[in-house]
Amino acid sequence: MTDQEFAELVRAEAGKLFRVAWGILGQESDAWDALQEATLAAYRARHQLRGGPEAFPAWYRRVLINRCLNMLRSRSRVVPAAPDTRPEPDPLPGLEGHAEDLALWEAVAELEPDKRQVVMLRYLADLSTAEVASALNIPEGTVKSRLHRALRQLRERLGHEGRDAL
Amino acid sequence: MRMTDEALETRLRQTLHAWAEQGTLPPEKLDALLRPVRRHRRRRSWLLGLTAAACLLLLLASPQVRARAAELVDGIRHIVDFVRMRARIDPMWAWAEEHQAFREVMAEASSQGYTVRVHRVFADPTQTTLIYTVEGPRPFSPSDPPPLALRYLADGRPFGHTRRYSFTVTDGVLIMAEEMEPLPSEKAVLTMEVFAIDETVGTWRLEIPVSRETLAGTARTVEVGRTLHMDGVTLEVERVTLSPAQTVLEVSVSGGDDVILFWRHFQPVLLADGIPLPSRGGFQYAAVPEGTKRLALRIDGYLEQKPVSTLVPLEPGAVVEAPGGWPLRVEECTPLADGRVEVVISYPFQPYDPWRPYEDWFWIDQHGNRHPVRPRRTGEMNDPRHEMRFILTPSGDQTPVHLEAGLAWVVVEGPWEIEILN
Repeated sequence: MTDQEFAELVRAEAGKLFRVAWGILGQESDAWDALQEATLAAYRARHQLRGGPEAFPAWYRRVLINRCLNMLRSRSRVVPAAPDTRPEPDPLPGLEGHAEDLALWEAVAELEPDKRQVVMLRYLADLSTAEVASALNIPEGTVKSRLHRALRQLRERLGHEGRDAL
Repeated sequence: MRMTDEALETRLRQTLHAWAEQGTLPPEKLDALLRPVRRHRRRRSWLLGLTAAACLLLLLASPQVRARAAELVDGIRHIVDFVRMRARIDPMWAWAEEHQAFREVMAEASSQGYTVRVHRVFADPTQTTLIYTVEGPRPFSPSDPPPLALRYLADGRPFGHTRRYSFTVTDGVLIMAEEMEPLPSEKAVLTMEVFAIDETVGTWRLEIPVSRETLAGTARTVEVGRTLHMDGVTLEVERVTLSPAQTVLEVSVSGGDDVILFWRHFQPVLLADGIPLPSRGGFQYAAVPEGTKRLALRIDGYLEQKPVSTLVPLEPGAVVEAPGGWPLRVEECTPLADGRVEVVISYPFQPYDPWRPYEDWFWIDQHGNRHPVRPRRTGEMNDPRHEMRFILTPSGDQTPVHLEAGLAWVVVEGPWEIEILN
């Protein structure tokens, strides 16, 4: 992979991965740090990638998620996610015209930080419950119970808004 | 009707992924992101700070391995077919196959349902080639082979700058060949460490003793040190290595911001007494025939990224013949409900083309003011057309009239020729 190809692939993927990191870490500044570290790590290891440019997005995403998990482990803290720094729903293409998705996103954004974090790790980063437990240094049972409570809360929230039929 | 847990989870996953998919970074953020990479690039030769690992010889001839070999008859047949297929299209592989230079290896590592096996190795003074397979818990799809993350060590030191790889998926098994630089010494223990297969993270570690002793005397390297000046771009042929299997040039290019020497319409040609040698891609060619008197490199042209001003009217169906040879066609120009405008432009794409033939985009309003905008490019390697999708965000009375590209890959035509040996 040439430097030019690497830069172009990063340009194509960085925006969405920034959001993945933001979702996992809960803080925009942390997400930026993780993305920078992951990009440099990916550059250093780009010759380890096999499968060509088509394989790059999944691999770069994996590098980023690993970096995010390392940050979570090393800081050993619950992401504070102050209201002004948590990921905001995009008012734009993708969610526009899908009021139900937007409502669901808003319901996720309003979850308590510990619940939102496991939701993001499970459904945005696509980690298993065991991987989430390892990343957060908590028992897997705790992950499952948080997820269970988060799903119940989401369902209730959507129900209050008359979207039971979802 | 209440949503089931499974349906809610699916919806959650889709919603969160859709949100992430829409993420963009402004150009200055992207530049900031790539800045450390550029710095790193300048000092990269010393920055591969990989930790050395202790190496142990794998006893390849052990009874267990022999027993295992019996189970791999189908796999071996696939490898034989793969090598024959490569030999039909690549002169180095043809030579190695004909002269039985591939050494049979049987090393494997299994974990988490995935098995990595190294089957064959070919090492000479010009390169080191490994053929290996990866099997997963489920068959791999030929159209979607799994990405792998791995590294190599030679006697515990970083090794394995891959020059090229080729792969196929047969009966759900990934067959991969990697061609790397020559071994650092006549023989070494090569360690292959795989860290991830698809999205499964783990460790698959294989150790393979490799030797190029038997082919050591078959190659010679000649220092060349000659330069070729081409319209502001300078190419230096530093040295050439001649072996019975192939010819390898070491070349450096300076001048010009970004240059592409290998494009679909022109590839550097190595001439042996005026006759082009079959190319292997990059600056690698078939072996030079015995008795050759003169060796020369011919460059017919190259691509260089240059400043341009390419205006694209925002009219669906409009076609602009832009510099560089990629006609731009406006596919869509759609006002959105919130006042923004979505524009889709397509252009033809072929292998070896730059992924982004045009960059540094602006949209221009009715007053002639320029507003930066960054397109989202879509298209896979084999798609005949790629697309750029722009979201323009006019405010007040602004009306988008044109898009303008500020950089394009432009063809610089030669030919130029440099003598390497005579």
